Amino acid sequence: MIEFFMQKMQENPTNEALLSSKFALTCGELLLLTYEFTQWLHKHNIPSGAVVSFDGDYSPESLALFLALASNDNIMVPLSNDSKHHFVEFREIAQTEFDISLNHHEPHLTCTGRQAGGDIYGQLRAQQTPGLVLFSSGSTGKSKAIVQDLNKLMSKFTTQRKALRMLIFLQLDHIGGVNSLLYSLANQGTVIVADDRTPDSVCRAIETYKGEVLPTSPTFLNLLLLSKAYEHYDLASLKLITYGTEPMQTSTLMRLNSLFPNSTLQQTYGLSEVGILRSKSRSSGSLWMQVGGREFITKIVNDTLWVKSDSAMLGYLNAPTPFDAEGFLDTGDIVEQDGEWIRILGRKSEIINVGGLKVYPAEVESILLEIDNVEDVVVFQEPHPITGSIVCAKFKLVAEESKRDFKAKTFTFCKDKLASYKIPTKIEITLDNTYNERFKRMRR
Amino acid sequence: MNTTQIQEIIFSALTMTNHTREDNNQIPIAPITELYSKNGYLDSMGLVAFLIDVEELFLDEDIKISLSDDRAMSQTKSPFRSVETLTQYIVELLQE
Repeated sequence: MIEFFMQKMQENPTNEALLSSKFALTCGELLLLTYEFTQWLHKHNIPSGAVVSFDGDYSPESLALFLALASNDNIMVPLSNDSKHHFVEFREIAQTEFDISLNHHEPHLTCTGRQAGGDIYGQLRAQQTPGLVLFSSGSTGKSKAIVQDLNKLMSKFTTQRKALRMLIFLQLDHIGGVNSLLYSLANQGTVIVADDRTPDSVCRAIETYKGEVLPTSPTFLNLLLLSKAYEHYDLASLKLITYGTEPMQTSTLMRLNSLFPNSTLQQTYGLSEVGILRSKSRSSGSLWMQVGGREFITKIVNDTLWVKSDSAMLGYLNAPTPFDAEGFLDTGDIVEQDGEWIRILGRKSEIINVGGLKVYPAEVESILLEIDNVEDVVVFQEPHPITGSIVCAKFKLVAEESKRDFKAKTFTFCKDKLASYKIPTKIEITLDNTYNERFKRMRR
Repeated sequence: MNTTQIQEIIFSALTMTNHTREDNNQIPIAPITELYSKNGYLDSMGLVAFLIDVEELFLDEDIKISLSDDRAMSQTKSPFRSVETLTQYIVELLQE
């Protein structure tokens, strides 16, 4: 499959493949760099089938190494700085045999002396196909190592689609980042990398490089609205804003829709275990969407979405298989259904049961985000002897405010907008971010 | 901490609770106010929120008390019946 991507780059060597304030690379240059990395792998005797990690964020080198490892049928473990505190743990779980560091541009190789085995790696090696190891965020416990057959993932992109100038938001160690990269390479698009993921830098990169697509998360979009960074840049090129990885708050979507009337807002849906599904929002202002695509089958069991995929992972390295006998995965997402349309209400594990009544954190967060002086908020549960659970809200404020005054303001604001059992019982104010490195709210 | 101070904390938590209630359904700030009883102003959700607020206010004074625990629930007569009974229960807790 990698040949298909190489072919696409050869067809249009002058196309801008990668752009940022620090580097610019055409498809032709990326091919050349990939060839150099392939030679480098051979020179260092890294055999096909070896498990190889590389660290570093989006750069010409990381892209070229990604492609070279795929060409060499390696099982690759991309590690971005988003998870730098877990590098040692992730390399151990993945049993990496070679670790490559790209942080200083020149690759630095370490032979670990480990010998990676097991059935899943055995399958990839027997088929002489490249593999990809990704790690779940670990928001509900220990991170799980997900092994994908990279050829299967890549095969989804052989249908020609529109060439787009896409701002990359997620890194190569996230299914969303890999999906964006493969889409862009397969369709002769352009990947744009912002200097960092602050609203200001992202808007600047969109203006400078005429970005057309911004794939991101509801948390980031909320911060963008709050920062008003969009007022200082020309974002007329932005045709499509996509959001996924967590439930969207209605209030955030409504404000975005009125501020970006010329951009389509589209919800995306995917999991590292099954890949990214094709999706379509009912309208820019709607949280209802259709999910599917020819390689996916979906079903809803007890209000929970189940997905079966041709490009599903081979398995976890450190957990039992989550698939049922028919190959369906319980996504853990509770959905509402209206004919062909679904609406994600939240993670099953995050639903708060207050005295038998269900509370979805995203619904409460949507109201709380409208309170004056709120930068961000996460709603989560704590056990309580009287009602079983209570609704808790952790706020990050724009400006300092006494907790007592803020609590009174919050209660007054919520009383005619939320049923009493949904109003947070416990309110915390934090100076820390309420989201992780991938701009996903951490409900813990 | 004396009885008056304890009662002031309970009044402060009641004032906070009133922010969640409509203007025509406010809880009177008085010692005889019934909280969680046949004629009480609070339902179980309201009681939980109110008790957590009382606990937080004591914590602000560096005093850790636990009101919604087995001990409080298993009292023959609920300490949450009124402001007066809750005040008395907290006095007992603080004396231990």
